[in-house]
Amino acid sequence: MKILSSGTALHKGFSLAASIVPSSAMKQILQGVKLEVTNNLAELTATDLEVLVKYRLPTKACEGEGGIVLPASRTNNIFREWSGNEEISVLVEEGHCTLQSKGGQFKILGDDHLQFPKISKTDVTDFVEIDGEILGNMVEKVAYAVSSIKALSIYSGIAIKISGDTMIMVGSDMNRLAVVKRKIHNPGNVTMSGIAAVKCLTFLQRFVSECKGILKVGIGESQIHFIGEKGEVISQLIEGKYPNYEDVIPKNNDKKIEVNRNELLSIVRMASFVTNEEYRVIEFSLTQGKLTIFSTAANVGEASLEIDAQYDGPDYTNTFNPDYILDFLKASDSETITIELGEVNDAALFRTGHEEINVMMPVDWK
Amino acid sequence: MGKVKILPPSVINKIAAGELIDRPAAVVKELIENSIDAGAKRIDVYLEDGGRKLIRISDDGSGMDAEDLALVFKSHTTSKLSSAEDLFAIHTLGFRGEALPSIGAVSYARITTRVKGAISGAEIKIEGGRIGKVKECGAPEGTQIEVQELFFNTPVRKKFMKTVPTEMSYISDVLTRFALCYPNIHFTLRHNNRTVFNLPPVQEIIERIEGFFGNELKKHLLSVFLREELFTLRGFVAPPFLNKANARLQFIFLNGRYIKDTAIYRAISEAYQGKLMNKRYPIVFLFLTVKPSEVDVNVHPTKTEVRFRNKSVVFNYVLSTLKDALNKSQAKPIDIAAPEKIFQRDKANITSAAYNNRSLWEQFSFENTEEKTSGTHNGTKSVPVPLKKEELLVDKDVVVIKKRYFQLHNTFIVEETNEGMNIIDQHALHEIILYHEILKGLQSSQSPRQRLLIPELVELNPKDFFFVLSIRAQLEDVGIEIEEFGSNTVMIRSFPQILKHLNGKEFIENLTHDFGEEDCRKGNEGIINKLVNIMACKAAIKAGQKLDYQEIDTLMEKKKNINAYTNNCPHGRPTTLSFSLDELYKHFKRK
Ligand SMILES: Nc1ncnc2c1ncn2[C@@H]1O[C@H](COP(=O)(O)OP(=O)(O)O)[C@@H](O)[C@H]1O
Ligand SMILES: [Mg+2]
Repeated sequence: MKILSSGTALHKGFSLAASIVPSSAMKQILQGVKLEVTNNLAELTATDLEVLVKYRLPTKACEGEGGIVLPASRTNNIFREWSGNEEISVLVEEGHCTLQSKGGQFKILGDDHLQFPKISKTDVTDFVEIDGEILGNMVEKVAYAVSSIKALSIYSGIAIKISGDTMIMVGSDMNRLAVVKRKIHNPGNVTMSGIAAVKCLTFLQRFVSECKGILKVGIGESQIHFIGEKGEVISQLIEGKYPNYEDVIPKNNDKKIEVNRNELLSIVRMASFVTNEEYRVIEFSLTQGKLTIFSTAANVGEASLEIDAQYDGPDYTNTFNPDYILDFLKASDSETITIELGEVNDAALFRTGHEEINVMMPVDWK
Repeated sequence: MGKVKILPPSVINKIAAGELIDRPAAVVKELIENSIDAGAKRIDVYLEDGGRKLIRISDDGSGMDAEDLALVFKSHTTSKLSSAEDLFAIHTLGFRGEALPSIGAVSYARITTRVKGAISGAEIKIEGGRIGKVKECGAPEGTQIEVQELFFNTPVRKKFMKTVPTEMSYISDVLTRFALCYPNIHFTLRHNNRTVFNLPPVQEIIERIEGFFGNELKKHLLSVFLREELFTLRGFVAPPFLNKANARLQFIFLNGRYIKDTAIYRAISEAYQGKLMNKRYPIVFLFLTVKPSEVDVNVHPTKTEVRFRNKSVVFNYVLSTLKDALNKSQAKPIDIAAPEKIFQRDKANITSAAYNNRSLWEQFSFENTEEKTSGTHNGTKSVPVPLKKEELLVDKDVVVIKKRYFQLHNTFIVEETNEGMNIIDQHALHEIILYHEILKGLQSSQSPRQRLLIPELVELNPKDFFFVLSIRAQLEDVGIEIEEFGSNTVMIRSFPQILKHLNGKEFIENLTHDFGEEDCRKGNEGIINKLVNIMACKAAIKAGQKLDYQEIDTLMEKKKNINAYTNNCPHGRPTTLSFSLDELYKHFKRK
């Protein structure tokens, strides 16, 4: 088989697929990216056995049938160098492949494409539709809250729930929780849910930047599928039951303010200049018309910073981890933020509208 | 009346099968054991549909004659044991005589076999426990067992089978274990007409390890060996810089059998104590030979659990042998270029890359959270090291970095001082810094604790449960608020911020291991002090952890403040070795 494609297309496609390849796989074959041509369509496949990506390569010409598994990082290096070239031809013969472009050629030894692991896709039957870009943005809005230390547990993943015309994603490290909701097209009115590994979803963010347009999303018992026009991402789900996020969202927090996101971001960030590395605490005070952030650290000093806020309730003070606030503010793209606070030991609610929510527990700081 | 009935054998077998045969991988395991017991030199496994549709295992072992064949599907028939005493001297992998009846109870199975040299072979079938008649037939020497439609008559089990890839991964695990333990047997595994493994016989176990886990690992493995009267231990362990995010590369074999044993796991983790980052696990391949009378393998039908006559002796042997090997390897100079590369590669590979890359010093946290969304790949590309302005002497295009310290073997920091130089143990130094910081925080009541939004439940064994509850007040003093939550379970309500990079559940689970009996007898103060010790030790950077320049810089800044206290880490180990210029001059005979 032989294909002819542009340097950019090959480089983009191959590096996308290669980015999922594990660098130290048990089986050599997993360290490769499969290139296959069937019915005059060229397709790249790569997997780390948890996430599988397929990508349809745009070609100028495509003949024959067959395939090969190419070593990921080596081949990627070649395509990167040639990414500016107008045309690259890829000729696959028994056990090797010849890459040819202006100024030279490579002969690369590969593995048998028939030996490449297959993932059976029987699991998923129903699909909903959502714009890939929106999906990528949703991931951004919750991924920061996912735990990086509870490997393998449900808190190392993002819970996805689809019902009616909404998709909800939830991420949490048990100290805080982030929720994002978006509209989807759900013609079959299906309900489904599952916990996807962050790795799959952060890869998806990359995937949607290459494969623009509508994605079909389906969740089965053990897999989640994202299918686009130019390719698909399939991932194993994390086993377990995610807690009902609605249970932890405080409903009776009576101290409510609205602030400008950039202003808040800037004072929290500044206040965190004078916090200790180990002790991440800022004091958050509400007084008539004002929000004040105070921080102090031994051997460093103090900071006191304020912004205007529409507030006329009783004076209120509580302490929070500034990183948690910053994470939320940075992931948001709204102009204003609503904050709802309760008693000193209650969870605080930060939200933009009702579609992006962050709940965090205060820090005890006697 | 008349309600209590003796169960017919077919039902008994179905129940027994439930314990022993829970998924296709269990069938594969039992059948390979039988082939090995039969002295096979080649074992071929063929599967369809992850073993759900078909498992076929062929061997070139002893085979069975028609008479034996008629018995194999009957419960508790075995050629390997004849009296109860034999139970204490088991030299074969099987001995319970349960596998074939159990498998036969929940599948359509068929055995064809021919004894070496016999003129004709024999065949027997079983269909969901209904044993057929032995028939004469032509067959190759050895035994071929075919198991079809596993769990066809136990719908619940059938439903619990996972996807083909999941079942295949269990089966590959099984094969990997046998292959590691029996290097001179030829194993093949084929699935739906594709070859998954083809492992021709090799001389040495290490060659199989290389085949499975690559040359990089093989190159760095340290071999371990110990021979005692009733006990031999040999194997390979990886140096700490080669580690994994889970314990799946800890293989323990006992008398040719893959086992799981908590005492040995504990010995392994103790041997690597302080050498690995939290949540990272060593890689070990241990092959134990113990006199059969010293160990009971008849604990559970699957025989992966064993009971040693003297557990603590085994624990101590393993611990000291591993420690020795690891210490020796530290002494000799190692090629730093190679380990570093692997470390980096491995880093890129784990999902929780953020955790490993975590900066200890998140003072300017808005800078380093940005990298979260960038791809996790490209592990070899080095992250630009943030430099302080003073360290840069900018001369148009040339940037000269004037460093006063650098890291050695990812474990030590070498510092140039006005008087000479210091060599600092990074873990010990950070530990002592944290120790004093935690204490200071406690004394000034300024130790922030994070309340949990979703309280974390920790299920403990009864002993640990009661221990943890008994030190509840002291835990609360150091910032860990726990509550009793039903039987043997505690709930974490808040956790100290200084431990934010640690998994609270694991911290609680390991508490009993970390505490010694003396510690508890010391009363309130003693317990709190021990807790602070544990916290400092666990939160501190580990040996083998690569630090960037800024991290070293911050660590050294802090060092200035603690010298006033002491030079030793809480365990009493030194943190710093100092060499004066004078000494150096003398050594080089300049003075
Ligand atoms: N592959 C084989 N080759 C020769 N004999 C076998 C084989 N598989 C099973 N057998 C015979 O069948 C008997 C019953 O097997 P099994 O039910 O697994 O019990 P166990 O292995 O505990 O004895 C064995 O004791 C052995 O004599
Ligand atoms: Mg057996």
